[in-house]
Amino acid sequence: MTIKRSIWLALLVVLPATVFAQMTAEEVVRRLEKNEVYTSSKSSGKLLITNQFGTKTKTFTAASQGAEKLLLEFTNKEERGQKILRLNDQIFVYYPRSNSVVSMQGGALKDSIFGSDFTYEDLTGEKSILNLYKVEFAQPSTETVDGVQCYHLRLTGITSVAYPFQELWVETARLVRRKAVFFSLTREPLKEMEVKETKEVSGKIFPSRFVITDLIKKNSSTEFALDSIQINPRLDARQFSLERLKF
Amino acid sequence: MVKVNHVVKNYTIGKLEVHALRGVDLEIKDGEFMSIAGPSGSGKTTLLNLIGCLDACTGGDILIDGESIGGKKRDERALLRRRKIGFVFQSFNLIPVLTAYENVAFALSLLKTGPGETRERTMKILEEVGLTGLEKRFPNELSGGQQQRVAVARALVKKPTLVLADEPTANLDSDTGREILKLMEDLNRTHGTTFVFSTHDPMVMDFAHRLVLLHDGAIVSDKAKK
Amino acid sequence: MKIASIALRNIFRNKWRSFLSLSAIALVTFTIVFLFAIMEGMKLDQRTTMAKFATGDARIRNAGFEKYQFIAPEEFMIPDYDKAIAALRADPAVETAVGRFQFPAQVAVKWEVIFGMNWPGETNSTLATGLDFSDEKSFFSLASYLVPGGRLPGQGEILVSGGFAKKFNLKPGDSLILYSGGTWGQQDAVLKISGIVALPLAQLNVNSIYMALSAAQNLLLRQGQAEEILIRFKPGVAVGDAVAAVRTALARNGFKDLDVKPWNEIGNAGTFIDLASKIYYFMAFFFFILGTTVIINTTMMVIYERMREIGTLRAMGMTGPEMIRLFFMEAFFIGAAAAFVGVILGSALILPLSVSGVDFGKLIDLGKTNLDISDVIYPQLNLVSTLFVFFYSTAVSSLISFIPTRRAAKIEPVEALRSI
Repeated sequence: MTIKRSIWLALLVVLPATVFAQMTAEEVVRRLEKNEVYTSSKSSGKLLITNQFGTKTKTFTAASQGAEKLLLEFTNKEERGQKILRLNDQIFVYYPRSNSVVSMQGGALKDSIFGSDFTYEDLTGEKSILNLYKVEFAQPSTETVDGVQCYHLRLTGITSVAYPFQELWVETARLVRRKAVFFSLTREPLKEMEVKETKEVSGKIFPSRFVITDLIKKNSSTEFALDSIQINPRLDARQFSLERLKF
Repeated sequence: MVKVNHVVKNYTIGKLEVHALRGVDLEIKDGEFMSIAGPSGSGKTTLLNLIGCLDACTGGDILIDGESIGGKKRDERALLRRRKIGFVFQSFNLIPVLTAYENVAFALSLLKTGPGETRERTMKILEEVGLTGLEKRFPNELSGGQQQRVAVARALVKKPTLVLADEPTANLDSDTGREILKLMEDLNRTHGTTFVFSTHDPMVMDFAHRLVLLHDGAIVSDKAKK
Repeated sequence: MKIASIALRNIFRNKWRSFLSLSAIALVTFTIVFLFAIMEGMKLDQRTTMAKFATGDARIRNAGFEKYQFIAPEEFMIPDYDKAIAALRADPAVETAVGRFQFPAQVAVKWEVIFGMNWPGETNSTLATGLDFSDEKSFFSLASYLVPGGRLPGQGEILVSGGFAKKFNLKPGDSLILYSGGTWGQQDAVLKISGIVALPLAQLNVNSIYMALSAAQNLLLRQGQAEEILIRFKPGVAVGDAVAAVRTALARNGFKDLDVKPWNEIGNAGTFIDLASKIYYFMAFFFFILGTTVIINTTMMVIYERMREIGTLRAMGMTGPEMIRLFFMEAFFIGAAAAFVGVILGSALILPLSVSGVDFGKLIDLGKTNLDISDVIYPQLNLVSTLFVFFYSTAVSSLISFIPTRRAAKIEPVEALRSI
C-alpha cells in the first residue's frame, strides 16, 4: 500500500543526511527506504481534517514497534480513549464507552478514519516500493519543489496496487520525501501528499507536518502534524497486545 | 307510379358474373295488383328488390313517383323505403320482441307519427286484416296466417305508394295463402295501394290482375288479366 | 314504439347471455371500486402515517440537511432547538411541536467477553431515533405501541421495534452495543432494552430503535440540538398559511437557514402513491377493456343471430345510425345495470372493511417492500371516485359496442334478408 508508505511511514521515517552524487532511481528509493528503518517510536500530534464544511481537529498519541505494530490513541474530546491497534495485517478498534473491540475486516477497511483522507487499509501492508513499482527518473530527473531541489521519480505499478501511477519528489540533499501525487489507471490525479515541515530528532529527519489533499473532492484535505517525536524510546512491548487495549 | 327503365343487374359470385337482369323495362301504375312470375333464378326477386330500393341497379334506372333512385345512397334509400314502400316477406319477418300491435305501430314510429294517430291507424288496419283481439300477442303466439296478416298490416299502415311481397304465400298452406291473397286484393281495392308480388305459384298468378313473366332476366310476357 | 324499449326487450331475449355480459362488467366494476377504495385507504394511511412518523403537518430542518444528509448530516442540525420549540408553541396555529434526532446506527446484539472487553461478532444496521417522550405523547406516542412488560427508556436505555426484537430474540432487560456512524467519527454505548414496540408500519418495525432525545443528544455529543422539528397544527388550520406563519415566526426569533416544509412536499412517498394511483387507473382501464370484450363478443353474436331482423328493419326504412343506436342502447342498458350492481356490491364489501380494516401484513411481508404503509389498511369509499367508476364503466362498456355495431349498419339489407 503506497499511500501508507507516504503517510504512516513517512511520519516515522529516519533518514541520513548523506548525499549521493550519482544514483539510479532504484538507488534513490532504496536509500529512502533503508533509512525508514527504526526499532520503535513514540509521538503525539494532531490530524486536521478539512472538508467543505470546515475543519475538525483530532489529537492522538502514537507508538510503534518495528514495521508491524502500531497503536494510536485518540485524545480529543469526542473520541477520547478510542484506540486503533495494528498487529501485522490486522486492525482492531477499541471503543472505551462500550468497552468493545471491533475487528476491521473486508469493506470496513476502506472506511475513512474520522472523515480524513486516510482509510484503515492505509495502516496495513508492508512492501517495498520496489516490489510494487517500476521506478524511473522523470525528465529532467531533478526539479525544484518550494525552492528545494528534488529527484523527480515516476512510479509505474507492476502488481495490483491502489494507485497504478505515482510521481514522487525526493529531496536530493537529505533524501527525504517531499511530495507525491497519486494517479488512477487513467492517469487522473487522485491525491497529493506534500511535506510542509520536517523535524530533526536524534540526528534523523522526520516529516513533522504534511498535508494530503484529495484532488477529486472539493476542499478536502487532511493535515498531519506531529508535536513530539521520540525515536527508539523504551517502550512496554505489551501495549501492542489485545489484552492491554482497554488500559 | 313506378317506372323501370332498362334495368340491368349483374352480380359477381366469386369469379363468376351472373346477369340477373338483362335490361328490364316496366311501368307499374298506381293501384295495380300485379304479379311477377317466373321459374327459380329468373330474376323476379332481384327485380322486386330493385323496385323496393333494397339494392342498387348495375344499369338503367327506376323512378318511384318520378323520383329516381339510381344515385341514392344507402340511408337515402332507407328513408325512401320508410315513406313509400311496404314489404311483405315470405317468412313474415316480424320483430319477435314486439306484439302484433307494436310490430305495426313501429312502422309509424319510424315516420314520427304522433301517438294518437298511431293508435288510431294501427287499430284500424289490424281490424281490416282481421286481427282484432290479437293485438297483444307476440309473433310466436300467432299462426303463420295471422303473422302474415300482421306483416300485411305493417306494410300498409304507413299508406305506402307500393307494397312489395316476395312469395307471400310460400310458407303458408294453400287455404291460408288464398285468404292472404284475398285480403291483399281487398286492401288493394279499398286503399288503392299498388301491390307487386313475386311468385311461382299458379294460384297466386290467378289472383293477379296483371302478370309479368320473367325468364333469364328478361320479360317474356306482360298481360293484363282483369 | 321507441328504439329504447326494443333494445330493452332484446336484452331479455337471451337472459343468460345478457346475464353473462352483465356479470363480466359488474365484476370489473366491483374490482375497480374495491381497488380504488384500497388506494384511497392507502392515501389516507399514508397521510396519517407520514404525519405521525415522519413529517408532521410540517417539518423543520436545517436548510442544508436535505442536500448534505448523506455527506455530513451533523453539520446541518437545528441549533437551540428548545428555543425554536418555544417560539413555535407561541404560534396559535400550532397544536404541538416536537424535536427529533434520527441517525443510522450499527447495533451489536451479542458479543463475547475476552480480556474483560466486549467483542461483538457482527453488527446490524438500524435506524435510531431520539424522541422527547413527554412532548410526543399526543404525536408519535411510543407508549401506546409498547409490548406488555416494557417501559419507555431513560438514559442508557433503548426501545427496539418488534421485528428487530423478534429477529434477534431480544427481550426487555437485554443489552446491545450501539455504534453511531458519523462523518467525523463514531460514538458508542452499551444500551439496555427497556421495552419492545410493535409498530404498525412494517418498514419501521423491522429495524427501528428509539431512545430519549436527550440520550441521543448525549450519545452523539449534540447537546441542545435536534435534527428536525415536527409540527402539528390545530384542526381546521390551512397548512399552507400556517407554514408561512411559522417561517415568519422563526425568522423573527433569529433562526436562519431553517427549512419549513408542509407534509405533502416531503419525501417521495406521496409521489409513490400518486404513481401507484396512476398505475391503478391504467390497470382499471385495461380491466374494463378486458371486461368489455365480453360485450363486443355478445354484440357480434347478437348481430349474426338477428341478421334477418336487421334486414327487415332496414327494409322498413331504419337508417344506419338508427341501427347503431338500437344496439348501442342494448349495450348501454347492460353496462349501466352492471356498473350499478358492481358499485353496489363493491360498496357493500368496502363499508364493513373500512371499519375493520384489511390486514395486508398477513398477506404479504411488507417489511421487505419499501412501502411506507401500515399493515392494516382501511379502504375508503370515495363518493366522487365511485361515481366516476360507475359512469366510466357504463360509458366504456356501451361505447365499446360501437365496434361491432358499425359493421351491422353497413350490411346491405338484401344480404341481411337473404340470411336464414
